[in-house]
Amino acid sequence: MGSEGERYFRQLFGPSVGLLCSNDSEEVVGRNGLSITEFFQPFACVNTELTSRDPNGQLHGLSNFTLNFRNIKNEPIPEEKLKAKLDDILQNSAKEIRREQHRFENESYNLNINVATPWYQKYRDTYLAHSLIYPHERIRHVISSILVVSSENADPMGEFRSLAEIHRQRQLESQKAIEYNHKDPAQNFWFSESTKICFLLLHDVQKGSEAKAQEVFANLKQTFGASNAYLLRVNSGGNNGEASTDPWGQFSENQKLRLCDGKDQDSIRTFVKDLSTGAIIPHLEHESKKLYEIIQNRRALHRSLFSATKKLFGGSSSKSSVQEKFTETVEVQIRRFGDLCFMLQLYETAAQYFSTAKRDLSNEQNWVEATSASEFVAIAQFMSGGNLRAAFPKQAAAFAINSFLNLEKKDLALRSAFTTLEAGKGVGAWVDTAKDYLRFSKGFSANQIAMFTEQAALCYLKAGHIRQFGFQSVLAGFQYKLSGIRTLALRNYKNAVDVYEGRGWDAAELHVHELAGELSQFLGQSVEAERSYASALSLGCGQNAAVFTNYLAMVQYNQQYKGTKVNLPFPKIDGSKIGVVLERFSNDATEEGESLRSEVLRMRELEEMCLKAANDGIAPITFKTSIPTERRNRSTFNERPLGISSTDRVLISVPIENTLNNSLLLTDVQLIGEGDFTSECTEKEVIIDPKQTFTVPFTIIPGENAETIKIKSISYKITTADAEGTAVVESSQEFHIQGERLNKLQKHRKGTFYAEDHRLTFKVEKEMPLLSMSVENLPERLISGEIYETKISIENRGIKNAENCWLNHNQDRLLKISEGANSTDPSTIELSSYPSLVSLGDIPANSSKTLSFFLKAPASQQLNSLDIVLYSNGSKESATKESLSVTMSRKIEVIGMISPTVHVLPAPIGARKRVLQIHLDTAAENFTATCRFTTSGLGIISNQWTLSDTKQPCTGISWMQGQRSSFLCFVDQQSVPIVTSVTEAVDGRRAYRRQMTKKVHFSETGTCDLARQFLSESVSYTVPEPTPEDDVIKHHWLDTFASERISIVLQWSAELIVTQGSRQCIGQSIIHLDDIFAFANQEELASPVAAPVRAYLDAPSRVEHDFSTGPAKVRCKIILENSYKDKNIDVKMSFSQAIDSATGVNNNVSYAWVGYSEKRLTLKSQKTADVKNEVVFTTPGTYDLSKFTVTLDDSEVPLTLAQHIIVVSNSGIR
Amino acid sequence: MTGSYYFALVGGSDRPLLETEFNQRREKEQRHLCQLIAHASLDLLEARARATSQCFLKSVDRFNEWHISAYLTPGGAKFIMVHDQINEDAVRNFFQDVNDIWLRLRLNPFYNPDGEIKNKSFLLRVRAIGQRYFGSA
Repeated sequence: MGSEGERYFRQLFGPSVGLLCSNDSEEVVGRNGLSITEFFQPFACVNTELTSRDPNGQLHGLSNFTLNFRNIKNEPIPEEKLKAKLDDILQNSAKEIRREQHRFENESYNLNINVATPWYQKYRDTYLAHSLIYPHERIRHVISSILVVSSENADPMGEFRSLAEIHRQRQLESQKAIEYNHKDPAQNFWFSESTKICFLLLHDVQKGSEAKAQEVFANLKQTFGASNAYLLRVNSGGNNGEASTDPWGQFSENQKLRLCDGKDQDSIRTFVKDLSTGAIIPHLEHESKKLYEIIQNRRALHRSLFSATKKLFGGSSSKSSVQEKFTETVEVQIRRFGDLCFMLQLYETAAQYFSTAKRDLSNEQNWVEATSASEFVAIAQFMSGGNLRAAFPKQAAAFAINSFLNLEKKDLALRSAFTTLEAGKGVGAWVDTAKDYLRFSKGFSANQIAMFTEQAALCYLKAGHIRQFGFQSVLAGFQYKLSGIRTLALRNYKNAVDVYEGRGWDAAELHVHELAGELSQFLGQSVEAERSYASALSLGCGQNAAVFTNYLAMVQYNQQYKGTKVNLPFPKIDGSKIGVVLERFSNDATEEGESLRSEVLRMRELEEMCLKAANDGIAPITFKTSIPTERRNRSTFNERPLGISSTDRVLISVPIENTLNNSLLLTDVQLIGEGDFTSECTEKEVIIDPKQTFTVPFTIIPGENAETIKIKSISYKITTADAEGTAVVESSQEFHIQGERLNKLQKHRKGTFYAEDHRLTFKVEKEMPLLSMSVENLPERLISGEIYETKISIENRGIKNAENCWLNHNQDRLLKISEGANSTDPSTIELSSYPSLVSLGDIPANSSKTLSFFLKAPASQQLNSLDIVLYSNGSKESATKESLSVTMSRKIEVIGMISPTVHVLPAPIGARKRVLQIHLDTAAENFTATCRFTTSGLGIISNQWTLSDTKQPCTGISWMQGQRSSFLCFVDQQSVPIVTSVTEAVDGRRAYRRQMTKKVHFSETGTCDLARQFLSESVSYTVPEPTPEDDVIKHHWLDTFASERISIVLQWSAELIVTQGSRQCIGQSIIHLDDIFAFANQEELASPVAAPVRAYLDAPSRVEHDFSTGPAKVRCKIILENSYKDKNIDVKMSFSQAIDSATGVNNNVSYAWVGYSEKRLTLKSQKTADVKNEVVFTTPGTYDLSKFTVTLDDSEVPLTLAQHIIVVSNSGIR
Repeated sequence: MTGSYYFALVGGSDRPLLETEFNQRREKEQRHLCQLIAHASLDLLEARARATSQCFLKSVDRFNEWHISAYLTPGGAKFIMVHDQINEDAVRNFFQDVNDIWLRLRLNPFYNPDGEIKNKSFLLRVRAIGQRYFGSA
């Protein structure tokens, strides 16, 4: 049968047979509901193999020889009417449901597209059938005519004669038009003057008389020759319920009208075959032979003209030929011969002659004819198959279309698209064909552009250019939309969706979805429209405002039929951001994120210690932690449901994000789930602006019979506040919450698995202890070393006892919890491996417990957290018998550091006492609050040393504000022999905690009550944790005890001024000294005074003198420095006061300046001056030499001088 | 007058990894058209790449007033520029400079190949290169 393309060309360019019918014959045919051309059309193709002879007499086969019937009487259709008819084809394309799937698959795309475009074929065929024919389109000119008369005619022979006359007239008119070189198209042209005329007598078997028919037919044969006369018997009786398919179905759907049965159809087939073999083919053969000879002769003449020189110069005389006068040029005759060959299926010969014609016509500058010939070269090459088809000229169509467009012959260009491009498609030149289709842009109707763009898209698809297919589909959709053919526009946009969906080209995808939605909505495809709109909205890249309102309208419309709530993907609810907190804990605001996660982990560690303690050292294997007891969110571990009491209220916060460009209005928002509960929402209306997130708070109240509550989804009524009258849609959305990524098993690591997240599941217990914990007035900002005393209250508001309660915290030695006031014995230091654990026993139902505690602020200046865990084994009476823990975490910021340092000054040699110079210093630049402080007491833990003067307070006490404070004290050797003892104990049946107690020497001065707290901190020693198997207690303490250090406990009080007001506080600093002598030669710190004028004392720190020889004289140098750039300073130094006010640690001893009592000098800018003076010591001791005054420019305020301590010892005593 | 430029860096599976515009005078609504043109030109880019061994494929397509220039990196990433003025030298230099920094980004072990580029410094550098060759509006 050949390919689709071959069939198409065979039918389109088959020999044209003109039908000229009498009225009665048209009536006979009309009884079947058909026109005369429609009547013959289905049988136009002769399916049997026929034969013909070429001009050289060679026999060759004709397969599927097809005739092209046309009614000569038909008047041309007006242009507007044809346009309307063509538009109707596209408008009614929705009825065409033919499917022809084309599958495309590669690593990126997997498409299955319906490529059938029956409306295109119908448009093409209708256009070609009804458009006028140009004189140069000779292959479509009438080559043979049939005059048709029925046997019902009163005078059939007379009718035949009159029809013959009409035919002759028409042919003459047409011939004249061609002769006068009219180039306008017309309804009919005749191929040549010698047209084959046949006579057909139609006989209606039912109505006509058979005898008359026979008689007329005999007469007909006799008059016009037997080979030209045909009798066709029709209308035998109709289908009579036969199941055979109706051959005329494409023209008229009313099958009941058909009077022709199978026998009649066979008769028609036989008639067409007889006509072909008896009349048409012989006529074509005859015509072609004649034309062939003419062409040969004219060519010969042509050659002889060019060989005239040969003749002139005595060449052999050529044979004189008879010159025939032709109205046509030889090029046209060649073209006509090509056409005949084409009709006789001599495609190779045809291609050859078309090619020659094209060349010659081009030379003649007959562009229309030449272009047409070039097209037929391509078509003939395609039809010939084999090697010629392989050499198909792919540029032929482009050439033809461009030429016709340049010649402003748009209708011819259109014909090229409908003919030559079909050949291009037939040879698989998809990309070239697609490009040629896209040449139709300006000057063509939107319909035609849309149709051609669609064809181009499909060509690209078949060429595997999938992205071009997508793009051209969008353009075709756009053009169809412009011309109002929405079904086809939608089809093209849908094709494009497959190309763009989910590939990241979001703006393009949005555009396609939006238009697909809009078109679907217009065409009443509400489900499709909803889907497209939903896809557009879910892209979240800025949809048109109308899309959302349309979407809601569609959802509401569809909902009427579904009857249930729909699941909308809007607004966006990120399940992982849902937070849950019990109302009774809702005041403890804890931030989310890593800090909460690490807090939970820290609390769980503390809980584990409690658990061990509560269970005699071993954590039960069945234990499952309940921390965090009060909340669940994305930072907590939600592997277990939250245990709540039936009296609890659960607060759930659901963040709702509006990703759209419209504002959203939600009403009747509630949570839906399993179990007995009610959900309340305080927000009656939730308005969320575009691109904003709003957190909707819900309260869950467990019902009386609640056991397990599981929140699954949220329901709401949604609309937009942007436009009035927008549909309100009832919708629900399920929560999708994923737990942690699993990686324990190999299976988990190979794939991607997530744990379940139970944050929205609650286990409700009717009777259970309800523990809570609170701390009174704990300030958030403390000074380093500050000791704060407050109370912690623990309450059980449940109706069951909380058994075996333990308290644990993370500030080992810095937090002391005691159940009552217990005096601290400073000579006993207690250390423990779990120092923070406190046993509370049972807390009965509806009771509370208050514990006092001392908190010492940590030494480092940073944010510290105080974590406290209250653990209980739960209640044996309750149903679950599970343990429960409550936690509390407080942030403590250490805002300032007081750095205590000790300088040990050697006392006079031989003296038993030693001098300690103690500095208190605030690191001023880091101190973030205003503070002044003073020392109030001193204690010392040492086995060798004791405070010597315990009754007097420390000297030099004064309020110091952000500066350094310095004072001296004396230590003496212990008079009591060293008695230390260590006791050791282990807690629990299976040991979980080891405790050690040690007796030490402690001496103190001043009111040092508080200093007795936190003495264990002064011992840097870690007690090892016991193992249950370890029954040998080793006294580690004693091992390291030999090299024990000296600890100085300094108590201070301070006044702290912060933004909230001032606060009195007390604190403790501990200084460890490895050895008193090791600090003796520490260098003096540089003077902190950075005044423009400074004074330093340059003198030895230590002098040995034999006092038996007299008082000691020491030379000193006072260095004065002026750093002003251009200011001279008058300085006055006065040494007179020093004599009486000598500082001495021993009051009865003094020293005296002996050089000057007063000195005045002028210090130039940026200069230094040295003033030398002598000081005399009468007795050994430790002295401060900075007790003289330096005043500037007669100002009364003296300069602040750096302290200079000198120790004078007697070297004479041995 | 400075032209308008739309640049897309396309990775495997035709995913745009980066899109940016220089001197875009057109409405934001035109963005989809730039995307459609750039995406469609990938077919022609591949066809052109088969015919040449050069990375810079020059102008591979045209649609109305837009020209489409392309660059295929040795690693297979595609650079597409949709522009309304012919400026071959600037586009070539732009592509080469972007290829330099793209190469460095690909060597970054923390960059997910074929993932959308969210590296801010990369984006800023692309903008700076664009600014250098195409100037400001």
